[in-house]
Amino acid sequence: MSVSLKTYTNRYLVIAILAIMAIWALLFYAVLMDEVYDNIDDGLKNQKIEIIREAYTNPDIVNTTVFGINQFRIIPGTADENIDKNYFYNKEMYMPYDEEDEPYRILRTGFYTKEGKPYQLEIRTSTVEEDDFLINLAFSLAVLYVVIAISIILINYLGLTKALRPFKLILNGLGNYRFGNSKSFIPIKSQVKEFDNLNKHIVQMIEQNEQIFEQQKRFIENASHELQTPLAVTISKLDLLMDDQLLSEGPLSKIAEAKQSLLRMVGLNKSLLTLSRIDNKQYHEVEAVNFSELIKELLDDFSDLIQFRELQLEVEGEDQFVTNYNRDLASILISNLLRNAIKYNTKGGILRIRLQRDRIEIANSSRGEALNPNYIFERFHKGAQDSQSNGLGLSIIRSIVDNYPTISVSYAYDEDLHVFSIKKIVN
Amino acid sequence: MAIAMTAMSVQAQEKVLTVDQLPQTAQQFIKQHYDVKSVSHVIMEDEFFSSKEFKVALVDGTELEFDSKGQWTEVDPEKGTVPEAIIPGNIRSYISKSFPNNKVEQISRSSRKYEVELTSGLDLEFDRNGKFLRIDD
Amino acid sequence: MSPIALLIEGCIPKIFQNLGLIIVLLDEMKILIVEDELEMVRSVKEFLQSENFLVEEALTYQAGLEKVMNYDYDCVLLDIMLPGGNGLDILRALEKEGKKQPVLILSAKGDVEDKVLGLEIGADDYLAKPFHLAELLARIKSIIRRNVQQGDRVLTYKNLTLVPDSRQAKVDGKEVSLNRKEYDVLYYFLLRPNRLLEKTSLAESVWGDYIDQSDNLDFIYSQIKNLRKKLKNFGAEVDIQAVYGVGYKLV
Repeated sequence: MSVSLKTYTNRYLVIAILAIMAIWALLFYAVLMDEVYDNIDDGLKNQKIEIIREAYTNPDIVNTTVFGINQFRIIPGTADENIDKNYFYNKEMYMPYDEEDEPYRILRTGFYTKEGKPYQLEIRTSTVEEDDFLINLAFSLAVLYVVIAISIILINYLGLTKALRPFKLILNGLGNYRFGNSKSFIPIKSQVKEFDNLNKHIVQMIEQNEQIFEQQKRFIENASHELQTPLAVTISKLDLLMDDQLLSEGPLSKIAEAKQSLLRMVGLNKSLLTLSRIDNKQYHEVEAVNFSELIKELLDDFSDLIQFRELQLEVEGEDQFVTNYNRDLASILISNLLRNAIKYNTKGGILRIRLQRDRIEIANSSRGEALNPNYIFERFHKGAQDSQSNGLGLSIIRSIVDNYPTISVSYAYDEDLHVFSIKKIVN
Repeated sequence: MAIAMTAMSVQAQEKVLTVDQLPQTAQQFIKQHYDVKSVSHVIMEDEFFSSKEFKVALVDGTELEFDSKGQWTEVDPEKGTVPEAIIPGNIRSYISKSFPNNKVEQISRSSRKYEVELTSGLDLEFDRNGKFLRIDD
Repeated sequence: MSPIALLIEGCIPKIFQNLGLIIVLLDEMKILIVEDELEMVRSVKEFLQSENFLVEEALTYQAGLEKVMNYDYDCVLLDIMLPGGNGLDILRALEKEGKKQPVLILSAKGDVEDKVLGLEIGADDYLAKPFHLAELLARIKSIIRRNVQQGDRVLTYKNLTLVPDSRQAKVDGKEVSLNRKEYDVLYYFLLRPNRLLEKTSLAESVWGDYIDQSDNLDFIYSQIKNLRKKLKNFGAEVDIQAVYGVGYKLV
């Protein structure tokens, strides 16, 4: 599953930040707490020295057996080699004036009087301030942590958004690029070197592509031209030949047949040229085309043929099927469909046209069975009974809708009729 | 080689000596501040990586230590205090000023510093010239 | 058949042809063909000469430009792809000089853009190669007719008259009704009376692209049959004869 680059980098950033900052915050807190207590302990130790010195000049002090304003107490102890070892601990002690327990840090140690009697000495100090300090510190650190984490995430997100904007524009531009229309990609200037390069390369690539396309276009056109010329010359010679009034039936027929064969070639050449033009997207100009009107015009042109084959023409519906399309392609599309519908019809058969706002149906009865939709649009596929057609009619249609897919053409066999439907594709 | 060395250190020599086997300086020291007759036993320690040490125990429990040259390194009376004469003058004056009424229960020295334990139990450190360094707390 | 009979048979239609084709002009029509394909030039020249046109040719852009600038023609057949230049440039040069010449563009390109462009620059018509010679004739005659000032612009053969400007058909001076295609068919026949008009030429000229190869046979036959019936009913002296299944001719 692919995500935006921002999310991608943010993921790693967030994890890294969470981990690193958590460790750092904890360490920092621990170190500071250590320092705070060290301070307190140093103070307690200093007090210890003072008290012991005092005990040697003023022995009564050993009678301070309870914690009073002196914040220390001395009780008889046991003789020990390590009597002066310092032992620190924290304890909650009840304060009457506050009526609650308050945190204290206590140093327990010992000493001998000048008489050599061992005593245990406990000195205490309130750590309310220090504890508050540590709580505030912890809180501040947490806030700092959160703020930094959010900031880094935000900055990363915003920074990347800004940096990626030209990239996004380039992507959009690429999406808009239409092969054959070099103006459709608009290069973006960017301050990011990589995107600038990307841009440059894309423009270069497009130029190359367009050049090749132009060459191909010209090649196809020139090739077609080359083909048409000898065809034209030959046909004109045959026409001249047929003009000879002294020719008898035999030669005249043969010449006529030869000309007809050549005309088939001409038709084929034209179809191929049309196909390649469609595939090369040379029909990119669009306008609003009223297909309903177009069909009626073409039906008019075909009217003699329809009459001749005694087809029953039914035109149903008065809706206007209008969409943006290339007019020539629309014309080719409809006339190919109509031509087929007439050609493959039975004598006296049905030709039914249905006109709706987003759908046009051209249906005809026929001599054969249902067609295979998978094959009929293939180039040069011929139906059972046709040697004269070049099999390109339907594949031209397929090419048209493949390359300009705002409409679709589909086939169905329904009620003994071959039905071709033109539909609008709604995005 | 390692095995040989280990063997050697295990064989840390601990020899029992007589008083006159001590270096002269040590003997002088004992004569000066204590009584030769009150010497209980003398042990010489000779380990591979450190120099010779002499440990003298007195009858009353006092322990004295001397280095290889016979200079005293530690005086640890079992009962009572360290004789004042042993204590360097400026150490003595410091103690009487800052810790009045305190006696020296034990004293040791190295090439670098003096360590003094007071009656109260506090340990003090002085440099080799007897200048106060810190309280060992 | 005896040679004399053949001769007479050859001449009489020609006489009628000349009588029938009344376009009031004192000179013969002069055509310039600007085309680089020599065989094509030869074919067209031979054909147009058989239709009593004077034909001159130019095989390159330069030659074409010179001829067009220095002489007058009743119609210029202009190919677009020429050695040395683009036929459209000759057209542009004409426009720039303000010289009016009827121009029929011939081109194998078949590109819609070229067609539109050509007509925009000032050509009178456009014919894509390959074409039927009969079609070429029809177009030339249309152009000439459009540009000729004086005279009745009508086509007459025997007692049938066609008035192209109003698309009327008259038999013995009386108007008869024909539908659009029927009129077109007769028009084509009247351009070259008594000459073979080959089936496919007729089909493409009148019905255009909408007739497929395979439909020709029966379809044209039935259209002609209907037309013949109509002509008979109108009392026209002309008739349409089938020629070996290859085409028809107006007799």
